[in-house]
Amino acid sequence: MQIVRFYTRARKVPSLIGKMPDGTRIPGGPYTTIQVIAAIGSLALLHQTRELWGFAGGITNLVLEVVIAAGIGFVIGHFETGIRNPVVIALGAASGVARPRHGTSSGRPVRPVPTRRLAGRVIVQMPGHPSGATSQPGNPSAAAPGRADTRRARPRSARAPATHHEPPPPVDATPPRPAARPRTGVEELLASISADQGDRP
Amino acid sequence: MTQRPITRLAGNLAWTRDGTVWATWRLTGLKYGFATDEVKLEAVDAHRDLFRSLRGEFLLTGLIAPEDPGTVVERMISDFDPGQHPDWADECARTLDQLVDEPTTDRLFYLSVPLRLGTARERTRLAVTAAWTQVSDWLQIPRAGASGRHINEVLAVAEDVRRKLPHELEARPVPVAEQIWTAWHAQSRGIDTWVPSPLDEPAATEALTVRAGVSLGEPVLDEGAKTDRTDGAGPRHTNPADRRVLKITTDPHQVSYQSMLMLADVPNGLSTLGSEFLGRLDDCGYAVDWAVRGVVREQREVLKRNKRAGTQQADQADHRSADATAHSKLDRSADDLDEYQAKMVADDLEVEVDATVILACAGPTFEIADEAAVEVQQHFLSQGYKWLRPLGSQIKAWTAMQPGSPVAALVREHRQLAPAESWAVAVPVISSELGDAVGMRLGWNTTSPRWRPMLLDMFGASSRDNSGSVALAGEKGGGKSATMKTIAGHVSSMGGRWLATDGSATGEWVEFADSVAGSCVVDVQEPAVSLDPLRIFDLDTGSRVAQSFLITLLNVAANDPLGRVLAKVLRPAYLTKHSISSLGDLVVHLSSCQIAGAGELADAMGVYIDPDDPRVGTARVLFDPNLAPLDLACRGIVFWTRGIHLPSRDELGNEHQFRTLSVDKIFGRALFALIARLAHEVCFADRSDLALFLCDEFHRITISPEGVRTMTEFIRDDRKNGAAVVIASHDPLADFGDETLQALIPTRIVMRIRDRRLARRALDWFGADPDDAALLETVMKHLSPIGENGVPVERRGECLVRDGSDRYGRAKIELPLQPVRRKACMSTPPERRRNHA
Repeated sequence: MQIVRFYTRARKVPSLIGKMPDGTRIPGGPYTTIQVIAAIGSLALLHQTRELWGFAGGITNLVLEVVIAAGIGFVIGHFETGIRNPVVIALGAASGVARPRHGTSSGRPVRPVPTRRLAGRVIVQMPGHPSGATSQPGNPSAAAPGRADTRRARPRSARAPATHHEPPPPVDATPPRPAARPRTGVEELLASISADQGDRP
Repeated sequence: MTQRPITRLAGNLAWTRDGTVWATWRLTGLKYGFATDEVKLEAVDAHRDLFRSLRGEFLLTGLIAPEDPGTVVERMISDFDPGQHPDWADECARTLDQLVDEPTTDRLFYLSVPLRLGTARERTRLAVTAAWTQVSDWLQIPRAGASGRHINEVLAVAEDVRRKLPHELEARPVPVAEQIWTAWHAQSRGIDTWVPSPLDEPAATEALTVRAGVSLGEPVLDEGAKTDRTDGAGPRHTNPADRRVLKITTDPHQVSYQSMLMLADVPNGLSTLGSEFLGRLDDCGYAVDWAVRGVVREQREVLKRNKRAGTQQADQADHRSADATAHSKLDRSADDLDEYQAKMVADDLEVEVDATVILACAGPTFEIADEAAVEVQQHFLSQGYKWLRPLGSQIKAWTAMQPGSPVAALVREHRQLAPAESWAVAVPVISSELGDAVGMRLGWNTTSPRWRPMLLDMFGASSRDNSGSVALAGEKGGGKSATMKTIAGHVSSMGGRWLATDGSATGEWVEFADSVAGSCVVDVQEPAVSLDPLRIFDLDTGSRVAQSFLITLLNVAANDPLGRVLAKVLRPAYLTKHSISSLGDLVVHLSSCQIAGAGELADAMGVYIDPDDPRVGTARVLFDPNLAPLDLACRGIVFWTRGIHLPSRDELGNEHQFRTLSVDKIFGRALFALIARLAHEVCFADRSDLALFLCDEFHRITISPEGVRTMTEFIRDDRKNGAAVVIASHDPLADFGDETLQALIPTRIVMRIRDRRLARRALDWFGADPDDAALLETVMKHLSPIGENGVPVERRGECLVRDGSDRYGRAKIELPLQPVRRKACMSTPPERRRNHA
């Protein structure tokens, strides 16, 4: 028996940054790209907004900026996404994270994705009927019998009228009710059973 | 508002908003299950070829479709008029009830690919049409249809793609109805769907085929089932991480909860057989749909990408030099890449498949769908597969499972990458079909944990040329006789007749015969009816059967002087002339007639019967003229052969021992040859009358060359004559006659055999590998295992089955559902009850 393998890891190498462009080593490295982006980004942000939060002298503020930025980078380094791109995973997750008014989780705001309706009409064309759009919709003669009647005990959901906040029921694709058709063995069987229902315990 | 990508359907084509046309085919699952390694490897190769035949984007899906109980029962009753066969109608009605209570499902396979249309003109036209569709939708203008010529052109392109697919998969274009079904199926997973399944062809296909203006449904997609809270349907977790479920509301009564999982990791190294992570998905115990969505890349493109990855690795080596762990990971990646590169270079035909595998677990409530997803994750974790449902992935993964839809970055990020050869071991497109398309419901096909009804068509004028007979192997108490009685019971209900041999002292078949109207028992030890062929058949048949019986009994050759005498006196004209109407008359006539050798024959017969007092002697059942002749019109005939002795094979193989055989044994051997002959004559008498011959301990018949010859003739032509046999033994290799006879019966059933040597021999005969340790273990210990109080009711009737189409699987025999028949099949004679209870 042969052994085969998957090579996802061979081709998807997470890109880590361990050296500066000039070749000098970054202490504590290597870091993931998102770590570096987050750390530099937050450092820049903090530096730009130090007027708002700064409470001490310039040097202390600078130290704080660096410590906070490094902390952010450190924390992000702990999110394990394996070989998957952390940016994509984060963006994907973001679509599932809610707005604050729905509460927060793990200290982060929760923003529920609004419910969406998947809509759209479709035109069906049979090869023999090129001008399908012009033919009669819901032609009853096209409605061949379903096997609905053979499912004796199966509950069938009632097709209730649509309420104001629900989408209208799809009328056209609803399987039509059985029409006249040569009786099948099962139909005959059922007919014969209902005829002598009393005979069976 | 997310727009549905599909705007137009025709045949197996779907036009999308982005201007591509997707084509969809249904694929046929390949034999796998309990098949031999050779067959399994063929299936793996076919999957490899499937991936190799594709280029660019593709979507492969395996969807669970509900099986309509009516359709199943229809297949049982199609050849019968319920009014004429009330018993069979009753059995079918009860089967229908059972299937309604325990609905069954099937798995359907679809392949969808976007077509690459040749000319720039076609592509431009598609882009323009797609754009116009958007505009006309926006303006609320009715959409125009595409021209028939355009449709035919695209269909031709699709046909080119189909032709390149491996023939084994029997890809066939789906009708529009089936495309609509898949769309509806996606939004109604896990709930008792009212959408007719494509299995119910052609009715469902027709029912869903509407000429124009069709809706694929406008479901509300609610990731995290948040509306459950607003609807007051119960408290829900507020943490989105605990709500990785998609709620799909089609209308107020159609709420489906689904949880999509994506494959995130596979074990490092998969063996060609035994790594069927998609083929054996049902083993997880949940009805889960799967989809493989990705791209196939040619060798040239792969080599280019590998080269780029190599450069990146070299660059990373520099960056990671400070971290030993990160560096060693990189080393492994580099080794893998070298190996991959070598593999791709070695085979010009090899392609790369870069695809996301998505599973959809579903249920009618949030909890059921969520729990299924967790359980499936757990099920695979122990085997080294990691499945994830990342935050925010549910709608994206659900969408990606449908043809024509765009693939979100989050779903693409979970692609797994391997050559076609590696993907093939997942063998997604396999089926565990077992049994025939129509016929009696013999039991459940339990090959996959999703049980399905198993039908057996013994008499049907199906297209197959082979025999409809069944051969069983199993130890005493393994379920052989219940299976045989089940088949006999069904044949009776279907209006057919049966003949059975019963060697038991307790007369188990005698008890069974009581349940069948118009049955009779021939007790050889204390006969009340006679088996004399001259009395029960017409003159022609009777003389022929009597001659063959006497040749075996007296051990003469047809061409010997004595054989010639026999031939002479058994000529119909001679019999009429001398008013010989029974074997008893014949003995009397021979002892007094003048033909040379006649006296000698009479003497030889005198060993078995006293001509002066035919009530004395072993062969009374044949020679006693006072017995009433057996009425061949009986619908069930039991040959109760208790107390009949048979020679062993050693005794027959050795001339000296043969000459010293006891009278009893010689008679026993001839009697069984006669029974075979008799069964042959009765079963073949009327082509329109279904007739079955059942024989346990089949060596009793194959012990004589005459018996083997008769049965070979029987089985060669059984189906054509509305006849079939069911034979059984604990050692089929030894007891089922010569190789020709064995090969004639394709349908084989193996029940429990605890003895290792016999189990091996049974597997050899079955057509499986007798050295397959797992299979051997199954036969010895896992088929209807004996517990403290015998075999538990729910484990009875378990067996391995090889069907008429050479498919292997596991099954569970279901006794007839009519109470009278069921009871008759279950009856265990007192002696056995003591042994096994």
